[in-house]
Amino acid sequence: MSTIRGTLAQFPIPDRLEDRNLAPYLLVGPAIATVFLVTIGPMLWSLWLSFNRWKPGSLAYQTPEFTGVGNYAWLFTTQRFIDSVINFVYYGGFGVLLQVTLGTFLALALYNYVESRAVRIGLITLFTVPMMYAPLVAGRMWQLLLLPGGGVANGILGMVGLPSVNWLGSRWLGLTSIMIADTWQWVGLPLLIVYGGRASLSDSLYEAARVDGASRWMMFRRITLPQLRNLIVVAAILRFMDAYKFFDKLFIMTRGGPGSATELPTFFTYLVGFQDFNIGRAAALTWVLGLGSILTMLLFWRYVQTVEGV
Amino acid sequence: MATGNRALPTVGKAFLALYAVFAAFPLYWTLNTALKPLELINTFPPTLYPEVLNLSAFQWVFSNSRAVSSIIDSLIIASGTTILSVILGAMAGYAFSRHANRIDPGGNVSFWLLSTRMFPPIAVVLPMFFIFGWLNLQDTHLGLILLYLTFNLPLATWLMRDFFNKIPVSYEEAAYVDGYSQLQTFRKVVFPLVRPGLIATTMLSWVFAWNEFIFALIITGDNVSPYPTIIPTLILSNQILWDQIMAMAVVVAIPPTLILIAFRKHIIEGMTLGMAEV
Amino acid sequence: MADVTIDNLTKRFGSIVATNEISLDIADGELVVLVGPSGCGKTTTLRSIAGLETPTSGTITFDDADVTDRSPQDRDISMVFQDLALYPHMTAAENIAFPLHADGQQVTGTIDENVEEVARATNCDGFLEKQVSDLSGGQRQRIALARALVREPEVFLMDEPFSDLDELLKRQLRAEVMRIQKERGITMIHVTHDQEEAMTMGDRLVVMNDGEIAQIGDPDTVYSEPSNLFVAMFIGSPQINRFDCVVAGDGVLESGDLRFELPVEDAEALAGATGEEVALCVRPRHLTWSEDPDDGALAVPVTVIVTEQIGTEDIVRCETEDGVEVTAVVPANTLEFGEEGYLVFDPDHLHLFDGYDDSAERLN
Repeated sequence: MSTIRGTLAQFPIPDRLEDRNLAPYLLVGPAIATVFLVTIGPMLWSLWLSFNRWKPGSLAYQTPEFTGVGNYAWLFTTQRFIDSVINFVYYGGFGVLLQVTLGTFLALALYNYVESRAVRIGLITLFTVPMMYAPLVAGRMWQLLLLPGGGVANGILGMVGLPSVNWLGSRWLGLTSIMIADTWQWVGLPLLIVYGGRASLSDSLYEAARVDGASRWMMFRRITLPQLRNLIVVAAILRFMDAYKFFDKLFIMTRGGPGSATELPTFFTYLVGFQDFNIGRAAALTWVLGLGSILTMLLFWRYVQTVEGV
Repeated sequence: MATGNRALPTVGKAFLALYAVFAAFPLYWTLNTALKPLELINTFPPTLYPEVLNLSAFQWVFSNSRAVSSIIDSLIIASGTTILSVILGAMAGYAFSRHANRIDPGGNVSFWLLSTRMFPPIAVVLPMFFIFGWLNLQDTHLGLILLYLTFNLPLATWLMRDFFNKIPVSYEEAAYVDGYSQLQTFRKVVFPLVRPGLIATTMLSWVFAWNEFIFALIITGDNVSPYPTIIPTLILSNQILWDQIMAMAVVVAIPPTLILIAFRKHIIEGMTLGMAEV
Repeated sequence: MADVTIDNLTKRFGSIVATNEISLDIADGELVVLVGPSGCGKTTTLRSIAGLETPTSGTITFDDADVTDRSPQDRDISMVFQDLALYPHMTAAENIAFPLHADGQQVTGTIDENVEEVARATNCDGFLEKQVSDLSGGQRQRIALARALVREPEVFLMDEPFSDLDELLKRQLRAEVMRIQKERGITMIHVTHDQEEAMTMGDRLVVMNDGEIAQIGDPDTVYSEPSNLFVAMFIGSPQINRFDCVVAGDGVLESGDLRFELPVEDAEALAGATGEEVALCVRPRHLTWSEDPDDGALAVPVTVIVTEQIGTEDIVRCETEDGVEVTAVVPANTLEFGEEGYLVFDPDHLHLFDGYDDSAERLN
């Protein structure tokens, strides 16, 4: 939370250094220039590309050719893209809900019911460590667990006498399986945010409620949840932003399949751009994605500033 | 209600224990798979522990030239991009922290800088693929090092700014008043205090670069192949080489795991963009 | 040590004027206290003297040298910061020695000797080897003081360093600072919002309000002859009593149903001002209780609403019939809640101001 506070803090800056010193510009210049060169500049070029038909390697559009909003029109009339957006909504919506709910309960359970500091830190480390691994590798690990034949998941089903399931073999089940793998990896993020928020709540809030005879449920409903609400929203948005760029696990676990059933927008963009080499269309796709993530980012920023008040 | 109060901690602990098993199992299974011969991987019911330790998969990771060179490539790229992003990010972070009302009055520049990190990487890599083609940076270490700055530099800047913000300005002013130059002040006062944050930023940047996949997939090829790019290719005539993949997974997971354990407090702070301190 | 001259110092932060054309002379070896409510410009003035702020206009001179454009490093000053700015990665002794390690710092004797000497003078030799985080609030204050005293600077600046301490420690440290300042003949500029601290410590006070100097003077003068209504209201505890009056005739003031006939010398100040607004102020110490005042005495009929005992005296808060609150200081245990009587003004200690706002000037 300190970061956020920091953004609003106005320091009594030594003005003497300010007025006559180029240092701040020299310090910040290289970073801004680099970000411009490797991110903003190329993206502006791709914005221009998104209004052009360009398919290097094909005969028809060897060089960029202006088509106005043609690429965007194509995009919104392509069922495969619309399906990927539907998948995105399902995946982003339920995945985030799952991760944030689970993370919140884990965090509160850890804070409230685990007395030993060592155990608490051990569990936090265990729940956090998957975040430190390559999503691609995590995807491979889960693919193994979910193997249709000898996977552990089906093994457990078999032990209790249930038939095997083809976890990654259909649209909704496949997306859900990927969602579970991603939850395994990222539940630590909402967990840490909520845990940090809960730890910073003053005990006197709860003592006052206890004096008033409030039940645990009441304290949860009336104190914990409202106090942490905005922080939970921030965690949710932060996770949701990852749905825009979700690629690695999908690439390794289903490759968007079967067919194109489990495709998410970033993966679809990858196919259009780097399999079909339809660069103009892919550029249009990235800008639609980018706008979505900018809007989400603004929402995030608004909530981050409300967290300031917690 | 009295019984409810007594049962709740038990329920909470059971929930935690259950989830801990769920969280730990894939890790265990990875290790287990790496240590089993390939034939036992698809057996039913699954073999829960390796009866005979089979280290051939690990031997493969450390002797196969593709595997070894992929890990070396990843090391070079992750370390290179980390050095660049931490140096540039620390400089910018210091300026944003100390001279905010001069270079960034509304706090917008630093916010937009951070938001470039949230942008879908595919949006960056699409134009960069062609630009790197013209600059002959495709399939080079340098190319990926530069490309990884797109997410690591904003992160390093943001985190370093946060860490600098925790050092009161008066610490520096006191040194100025006592006759220390700006450079000396930085060396004697600011640097020792920001060092833990600098280390955490370094580690976190390194881990993110180490784990990156989509840029590597698109930009690299024959000469340079970071380890994530070879994991999808470890297949022998339609059979996924699970033991080798999982041995590789174990090996490449060791550095991030050690980093988390060693720098837990600051890594957690960095992971949550400074929102959580545990 | 040097004398300090501030000439027409103005500092703007964007559209906010922090200090507006402040001029001030501080003599060598003098302890001057800048006092005022928060936001009055006292800290900006101090930071300008330190070189931590660049004035928008105006000059600052140490002895005869214009230092306005010098960086803090080149001003040869010591400063104790509000948050003390002790370095957590150093021990107490290392903090004290810190200024001696700066480039170009001339040190007579070894650094250790210097540290030990100043530690003795500030009573912090008992905890020199401790880490800053292990020190108590009072110990930290002493270390900060020692760090600022370890050199012999031209000017010594203090920015509210005592504000976080409890009352007892505050008194103790104030006394020590004053002792050291006098012993060593230090030119010291101290900033505080606490008027009581200002009154006890300062050779002279500079009372500031809204970026301007409201009054400069020694504590007695500021207390007994506040030059405007702001100073009268700000200095002195309990706060001065104030009646917003209108001049009703020669030497006569009216405030609601109250009527004040002023002594001759005060009446002269109001000559020809009939109909004007005048604030009449009197300090609680200059009121006495009477059941039946003499004819012609300046008195207001009141009822006691609260009494607070402070040692041998009571602070009594009373109310007139119109609900105007009047505070008096009387011998302990003489009055009770609900008692009715008169508060009689000491005619030698009346303060008259030409209006009701802060800038209203003294008339008598």
